[in-house]
Amino acid sequence: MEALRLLRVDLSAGTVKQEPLNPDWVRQFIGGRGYGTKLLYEELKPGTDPLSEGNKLIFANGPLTGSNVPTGGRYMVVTKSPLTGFIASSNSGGYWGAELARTGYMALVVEGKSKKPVYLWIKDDKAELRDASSLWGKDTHATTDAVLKEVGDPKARVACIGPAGEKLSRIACIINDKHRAAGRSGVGAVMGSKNLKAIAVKGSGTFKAANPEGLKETLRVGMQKIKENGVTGEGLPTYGTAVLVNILNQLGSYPYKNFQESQHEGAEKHSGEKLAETFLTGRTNCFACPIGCGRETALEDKKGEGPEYETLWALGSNCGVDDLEPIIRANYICNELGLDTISAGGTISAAMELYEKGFIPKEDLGVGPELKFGSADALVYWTEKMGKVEGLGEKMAQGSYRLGELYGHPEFSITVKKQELPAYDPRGIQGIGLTYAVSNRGACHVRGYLISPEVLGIPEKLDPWVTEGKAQWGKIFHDLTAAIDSSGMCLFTSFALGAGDYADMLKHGAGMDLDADSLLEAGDRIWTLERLFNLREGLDPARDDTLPVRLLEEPIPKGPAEGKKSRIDVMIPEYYKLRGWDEKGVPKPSKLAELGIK
Amino acid sequence: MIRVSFFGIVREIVGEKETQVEAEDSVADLLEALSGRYGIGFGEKVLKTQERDLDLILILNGRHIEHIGGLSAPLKEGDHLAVFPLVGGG
Repeated sequence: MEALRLLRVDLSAGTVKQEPLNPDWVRQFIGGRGYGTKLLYEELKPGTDPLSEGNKLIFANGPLTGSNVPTGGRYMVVTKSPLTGFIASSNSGGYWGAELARTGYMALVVEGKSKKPVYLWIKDDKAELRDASSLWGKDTHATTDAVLKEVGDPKARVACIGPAGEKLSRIACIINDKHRAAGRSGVGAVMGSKNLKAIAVKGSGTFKAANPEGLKETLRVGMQKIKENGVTGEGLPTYGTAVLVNILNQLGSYPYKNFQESQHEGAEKHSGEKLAETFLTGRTNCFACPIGCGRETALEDKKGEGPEYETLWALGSNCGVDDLEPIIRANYICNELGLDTISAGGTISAAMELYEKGFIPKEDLGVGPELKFGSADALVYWTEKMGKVEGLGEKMAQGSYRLGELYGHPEFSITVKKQELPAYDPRGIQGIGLTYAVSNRGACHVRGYLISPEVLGIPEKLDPWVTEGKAQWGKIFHDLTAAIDSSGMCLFTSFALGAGDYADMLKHGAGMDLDADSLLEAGDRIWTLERLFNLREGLDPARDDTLPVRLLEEPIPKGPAEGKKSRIDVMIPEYYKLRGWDEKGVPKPSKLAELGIK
Repeated sequence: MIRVSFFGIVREIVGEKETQVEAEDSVADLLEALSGRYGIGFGEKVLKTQERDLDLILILNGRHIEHIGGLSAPLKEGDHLAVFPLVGGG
């Protein structure tokens, strides 16, 4: 495979052209999330409406995507988010990214807006835009099948949007390989706003390591660590992520009914253990993944993948729903219609609270079931309405913050920067609250998964109730994650691997001059540039680096973590300082100089 | 009595979701009693945990034992111990 390139797609002009990658940017920002962020920062006009033709939609692989390093199949979608108004960078696995790598392109930059629906077909270095009028309105599964048939190559890979993205739902995702999602921050709506229905890729190149012998030894060591690690070698392969349900529920930090409580008596009914006994039919791996956390499931009338832990919680306990069947069904609907499951669940739960407290009037439901916590019918019905952007579902499809604002009570939206929170209560797990609050893409657990030390005890056990030391842990996790997200590898490897392992893989695999320290510095640079992007787009740290009032002022009412509130107020000032930012959360010139950011 | 709940692969090893055990002095004593009851598979898990403190997640009344005395954490009548394998996720 020749040197990796970039493909620029101008949908307004209907043209495609190849460009070389910027080698300085690769050196400084690696690829994936980092390269995409640099590109967006340099090219996007400040203040651009995320759903206008001025926004840019970037698909970026890491240098190791498509390689034989463990989990080397990830790609990142970077754009300005229509949900948060800040940077979006949504990661996905499956096989699409690896196939893109085989075409010789590391990144795609999609600009402008097509006059009519189109899809992009990339076969090796050739790319063309094709009419997608007949695909518009189809769900992600039907779209994938139709595109594969039309390009005439069943081994091609397809990333596409469903009706939610077409109709500009701000919580719409991009689905690749039918079941994997670049889920968060509404990236699917940006694709829809450009009238781009799908991107099909097929390549014939193969990965060539910079130093094959060095990589061989690095892989031997890395694979051994992954195999011997309790999480990557046994826990995730055996149970997937769903086994976390019971752990978090036992700790009383498993949010229930839109974070009104944090322990759910019925959670066992949708736990990983229950899933294994009932609807589980198999397990799946993404490209080059030795872990295989994916779960295959089947209902009586359909089958699919998932739900993962986050989805079980978002569509389950957060909506007060116990049973697996409706959760699995709603998960399938999200994947088919193209909705982010975390934000979908967070929006339905907010709608349920708004309805139960009398702020959404019954007449607004039309013929739909009442939005009551625990109602499986409501969960399935309103997920579908949201995905189809119909009726009250049209309002819900804009996410919980805009829904709450519309009905006069945005305080019931459990969001950071208007993005719905994941499945860990930051009142009972202090460090993850810091990650939520300062995450550049809005509430997110995988910008720095402090659950690993705070709950699981990896690499060492930290007390989830205390704040001391969490700022330092947060910064290291945030920097390391930014680097992993830029490499093309999956974050789950970090249960077993450390910064030095990733640096070695990038060094021998992609010829990058990195060690553990410079890898973390690259992560720091990426995080800081995301911050600069957000500040340029109007981020007010005092207003935006925070948690919902409920989590700051309402203690967990009962259970093991009873009485706990989030104390981000004591962690954030320390975190800013460690980052080299001023007390207002703005990177200091000296820090930018240190990182080589101009 | 102490209520003990099992999860994940541990549940498969012991073959039941939950059991009751006569009150023991500490978590370590309780694990030893359980090893005697459930045999080699469970015993191996426990041994690994005692050596490396990694292979099980033990939650006593909603708190990870690491923060309440580790394996020496004292037990009292009516306590609830949840026994998980080491797992992870996102």
